[in-house]
Amino acid sequence: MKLKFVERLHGVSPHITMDRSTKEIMQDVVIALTPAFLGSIYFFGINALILVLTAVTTCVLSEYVWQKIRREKLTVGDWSAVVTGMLLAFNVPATTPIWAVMVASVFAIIVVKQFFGGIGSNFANPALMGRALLLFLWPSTISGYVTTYHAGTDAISSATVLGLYKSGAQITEYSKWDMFIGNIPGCLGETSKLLLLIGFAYLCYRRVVNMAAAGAYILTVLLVTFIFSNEGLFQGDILTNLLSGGLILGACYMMTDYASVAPRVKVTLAVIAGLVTAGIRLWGKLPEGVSYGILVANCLSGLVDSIIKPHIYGVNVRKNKV
Amino acid sequence: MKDNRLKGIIALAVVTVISFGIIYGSKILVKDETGNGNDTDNNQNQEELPGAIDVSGAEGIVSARELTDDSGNITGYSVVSQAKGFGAQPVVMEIIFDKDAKTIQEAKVVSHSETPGYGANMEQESFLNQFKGIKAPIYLKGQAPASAADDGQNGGQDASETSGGFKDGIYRVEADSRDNQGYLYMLTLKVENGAITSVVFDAMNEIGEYKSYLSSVGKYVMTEDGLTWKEQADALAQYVIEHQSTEGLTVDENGKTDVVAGVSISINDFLDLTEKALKMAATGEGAEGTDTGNETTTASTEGGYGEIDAVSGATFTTNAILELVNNAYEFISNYAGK
Repeated sequence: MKLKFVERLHGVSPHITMDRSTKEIMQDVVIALTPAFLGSIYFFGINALILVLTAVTTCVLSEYVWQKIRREKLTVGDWSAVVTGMLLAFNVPATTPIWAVMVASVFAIIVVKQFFGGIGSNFANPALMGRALLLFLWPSTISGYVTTYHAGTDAISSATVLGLYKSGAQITEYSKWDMFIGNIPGCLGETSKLLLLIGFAYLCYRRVVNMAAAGAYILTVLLVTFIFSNEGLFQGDILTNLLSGGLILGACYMMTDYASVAPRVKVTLAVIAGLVTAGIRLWGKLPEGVSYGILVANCLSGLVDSIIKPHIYGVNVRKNKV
Repeated sequence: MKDNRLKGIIALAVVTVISFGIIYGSKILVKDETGNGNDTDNNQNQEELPGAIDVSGAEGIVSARELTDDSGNITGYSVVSQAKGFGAQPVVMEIIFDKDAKTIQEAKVVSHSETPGYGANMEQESFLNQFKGIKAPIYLKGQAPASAADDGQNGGQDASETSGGFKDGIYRVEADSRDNQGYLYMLTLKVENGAITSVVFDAMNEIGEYKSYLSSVGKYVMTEDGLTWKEQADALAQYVIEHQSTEGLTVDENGKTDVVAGVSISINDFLDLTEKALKMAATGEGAEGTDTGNETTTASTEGGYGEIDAVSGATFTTNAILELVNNAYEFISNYAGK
């Protein structure tokens, strides 16, 4: 009976403590996101700055007000609300109305995060849930993709590269280099893979993220979309799938969050998220699928955690190894 | 740990600055390549090739030249003209006119960045062949203004005599946001000689597909036996052209109307956009192609006109082609003194 109880514990002692706080980790994530943030301003103009500041301010204020009303310990200083705000803004296009970003921010912080017990207890990524709310209630608010200012022309409405690719069109307007540096229509923070990867390298250097989860997610999506592409078996465009959507943003900054700490669980969830994302891209109505892929994995984390049992110190030791 | 972070931040900052340098550098490189390319084209057309015509100050005209035979007699004109389509880069076409500076011998696509499968279909031979032998200005089939048709038979008409309540030009408006199905509604209203001569109502989804196209090929079906969405949109447009306003186009609480036969769609978006465009047309605000000088008007209405089919499913591309061909015609007819 006691053993069963112990097995159900998420992590059993002895615990390895880290010499860094949540605040330090979140600050590192903000630092890592800064190049992509600056890139979004370069590519999409002042709207990007306004939307990011709106989302961050609303998230921080929502958390502060909620905790004040509930007389809970204030956690605004841990910077997690800032990260949520930045990621939320990174997941919407530059034409998104400010009110929509504010509503999504309030929903992400209060409903998704605080209703479930605050940081570490939320069942899903709050930023992605905020985006999902907009997609569900007001899809038109986050579907106005525009071209970048990089080419020296005014921003004009345009389909995303992934949307064009899904429709079967040949991508002639944007080169792979454009996709890599961020000169394509898309959400604010997802377009420049170069700047996202620089930030991710910083997180790896700081040992903040699980590279295996990010790698497993990307490889799963690329493998499945390559094999079962609309062009035929084993004919998928790997680079377009990698560079044209939000795959790298999702893999590097959202697939690697702290929903579960067991590395094997993280990788398994990453593969599940990859399968869902690839499935949506191949057979779904939407051209993307990163948000829903990661959210599905978030929702399954408890189940996967219970199936993939962690090694418990001192129990379940095989006799032949003793 | 603090040193570790500081080193990381410094490295991040340095690499970020270098990356921005690379990104901006690639922009300059592309610009240079484009600039060199354009220079080459222009030089070829304007300087190296014989019969180059000065196009400075002519909006939308890239280059032009006279075509001559071995004896030096003018046999026609070549005009390279451009207009904004759906893609990031303008649609550029070369229009070869006969020596009367009105009859089109040939139209060639020089460059474009239109959506493959949609706007890019303008490169198809069947589309380009319809330009051969027709007279400029050109209109979509069935949308030529009555004044132009009369001019073709009666030999011209002064613009000032038929002026209505609107300023001449092309007015493009689109909805502020997409509807709950992801469609962005848009409307193009054309005013000539003070009268509305063309209304094109359409909607585009998130992946760039036009509702008119989807409905015409059976991918957007509302009812099995009624009019398609495109036919209903055309019927609404025809109502506005006939009445020169939206007056009388009443709607119920669901946005439906009984005024136009066969129309069952909610017309709130159509009404909003039309009224927006009419307000613009009343003041001339935001008009495109508003050169209403007598010389131009005479040139554009004298001696008949041509009609073409639209590029299927690509309203923006079609409008760009109409605009650039007619601009080319206005330019060359003014140059030739026709």
